[in-house]
Amino acid sequence: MSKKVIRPGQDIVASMVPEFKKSLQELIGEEGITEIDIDLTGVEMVDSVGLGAFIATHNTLSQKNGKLTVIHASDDIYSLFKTMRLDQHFEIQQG
Amino acid sequence: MNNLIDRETKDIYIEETNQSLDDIENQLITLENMGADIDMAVAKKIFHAMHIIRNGASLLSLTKIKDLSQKIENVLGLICSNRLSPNPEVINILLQGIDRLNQLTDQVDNNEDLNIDEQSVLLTGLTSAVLPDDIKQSVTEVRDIPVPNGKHIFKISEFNLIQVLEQGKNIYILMYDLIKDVQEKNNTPLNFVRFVQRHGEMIDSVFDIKSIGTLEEQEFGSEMPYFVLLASTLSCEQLIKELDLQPYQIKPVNNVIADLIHPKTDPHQKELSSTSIAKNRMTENKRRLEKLNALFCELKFSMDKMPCRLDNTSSLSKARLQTVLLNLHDLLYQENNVLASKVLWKIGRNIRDYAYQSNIKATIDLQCGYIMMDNRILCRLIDPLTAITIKMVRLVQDIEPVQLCLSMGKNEDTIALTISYANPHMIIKKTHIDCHDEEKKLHALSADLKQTFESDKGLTVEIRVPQKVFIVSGYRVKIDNYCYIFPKFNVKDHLANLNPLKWSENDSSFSFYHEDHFIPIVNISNSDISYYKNKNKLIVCEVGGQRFGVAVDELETKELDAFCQSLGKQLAENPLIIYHCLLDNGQIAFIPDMDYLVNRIS
Repeated sequence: MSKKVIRPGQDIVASMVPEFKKSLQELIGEEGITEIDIDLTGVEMVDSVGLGAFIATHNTLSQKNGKLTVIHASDDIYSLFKTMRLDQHFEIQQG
Repeated sequence: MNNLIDRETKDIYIEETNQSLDDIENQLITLENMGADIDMAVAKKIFHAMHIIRNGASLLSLTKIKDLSQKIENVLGLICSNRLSPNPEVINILLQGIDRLNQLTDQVDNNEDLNIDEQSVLLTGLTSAVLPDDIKQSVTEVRDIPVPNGKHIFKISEFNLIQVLEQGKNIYILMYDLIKDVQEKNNTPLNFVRFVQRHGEMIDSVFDIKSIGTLEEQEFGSEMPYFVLLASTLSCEQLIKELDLQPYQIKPVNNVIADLIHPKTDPHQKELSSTSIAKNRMTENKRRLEKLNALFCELKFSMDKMPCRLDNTSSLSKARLQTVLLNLHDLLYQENNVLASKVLWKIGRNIRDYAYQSNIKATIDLQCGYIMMDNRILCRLIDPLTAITIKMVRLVQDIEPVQLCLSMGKNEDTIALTISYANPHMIIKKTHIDCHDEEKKLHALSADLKQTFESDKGLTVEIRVPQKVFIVSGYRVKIDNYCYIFPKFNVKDHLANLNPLKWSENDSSFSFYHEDHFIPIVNISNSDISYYKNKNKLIVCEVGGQRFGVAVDELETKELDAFCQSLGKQLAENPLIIYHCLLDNGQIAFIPDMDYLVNRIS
């Protein structure tokens, strides 16, 4: 099992999600990564499509017995994920 | 981005919460001082203040603060509805919760190490303990509320649902698609959540994560079903309007959980579940436990006196009886066990009172975890532990605030209670405190005390208490300067100021007129048979249906628990006594062998 940290470095919103999704697919599909830490340093906002990207990544990794962890989440994002109970599906660590 | 919970908002919340917690603490003490005649306006004011703290925490997603304040609010709700009296124990548990909330708000950004388990257990236990049986269950019972998509279920504590319903709120399931209802409306999930929270309390929420799909699936991002369980004072129509919902997006669930506030019970069952009945039941259980304990002691006494050498049949019978005895002991051990923190909180309260009277700041943090202990031992630990703690506070009271920690650990046979300084800067050079009196009280519980000093930790006091002990309830008497404990189950009466005319002497045997009969007097003294003449008190005992009296110099009618210890070699040869124990003042007391006494009736 291999692990990789991915740092988007920008807000996770609809406009960047296709590219973000593509890089995640490459990591999981081609490089065989099953544990991914998404480092949200510098990320201030996640929109609905962005949330969907996190959940889709979690679903994909779960199929491969992998694990998603969100790290360095800002107060707002941490609070949002907690309120939406996403912490029940994958681990979220505050920045 | 429009940060609704920026640093400033959080800081304002913390500042207001700290002020509010100070007010609540003072008001709780006021409430306690009112005794049974409480001012409901004060109780409701506290409840309201706590409600605001909880809502704020919910809004800011401060999970621990929200969860703990919810539990405190539950208890306050019971006080406001006259179902719980704010006695010192209740107030103290609430104050412990408030203390923890204060710590959580002080370290709001870094409170991972502060758990709320202990306070939660105490508060939930309190909520549960005072409620009638039918409601008591609701604290631990979880109600399933199915989401209309049929794939998910909200699992919510029934008690929380009852609290919400009793506040006059309605409960709804709101069904959203975050793509259609948020993204396509150029809204962000964070703003959307805050907007919903302004119209009610989000009890729970769930994503239908399966329908969102994986990264590979083409339809990814086309829909994001999200369900919210919302408690709100608004009606269904008002919420549709305020939240801009379509009617199909909202489903009231009050009817699904209506039975929680209108139990399907007939009036007779309702009567049974009233508080007074519950209290009677608890008293009855206590009596049963005492009776069971007495039977156990009596059986153990008989077994201990059974000869060692027996024939095969008798040996087998003895072995069987011993098995029964062991099982009975285990049963009693479990029945008498309570969560240690439920009793030891009183130490915190005593320290608080001491600090208040001495005008210093001193607190003790109880870290008892989930350790269970014999209630009879716990109650007797309060005094010596409080005294030791106060002595430790006095050692450093010029360095305020004094923070101590009482932690508990457990191994197979003993429970260790360790009192240490919580703040490492409080290291002082004194390596020992005088605990002479406290040690006596601890020895009476078969417990030991040990003091250790380490340069980086300062003084630590450790008390080791055996887990399983043989306790006999009885009455202390003094005969010719020897102390005895007469087992309660053998004592039928205590008589003082004996009427000389009630004595009778016949062939060197003596008797006393008691309850229409002459009862024989047994000589327990080493002195002459007429020793009774110097004594004017009598303890009336019964063994195997045979009543007899023992004349004594002093007798206490107050019951005490004797922690029995086996006799040493020398004492074992004395047929009059079967066990010994230590009293709180360090004095040794003997437990007489009642079979031997009854056999002495001439």
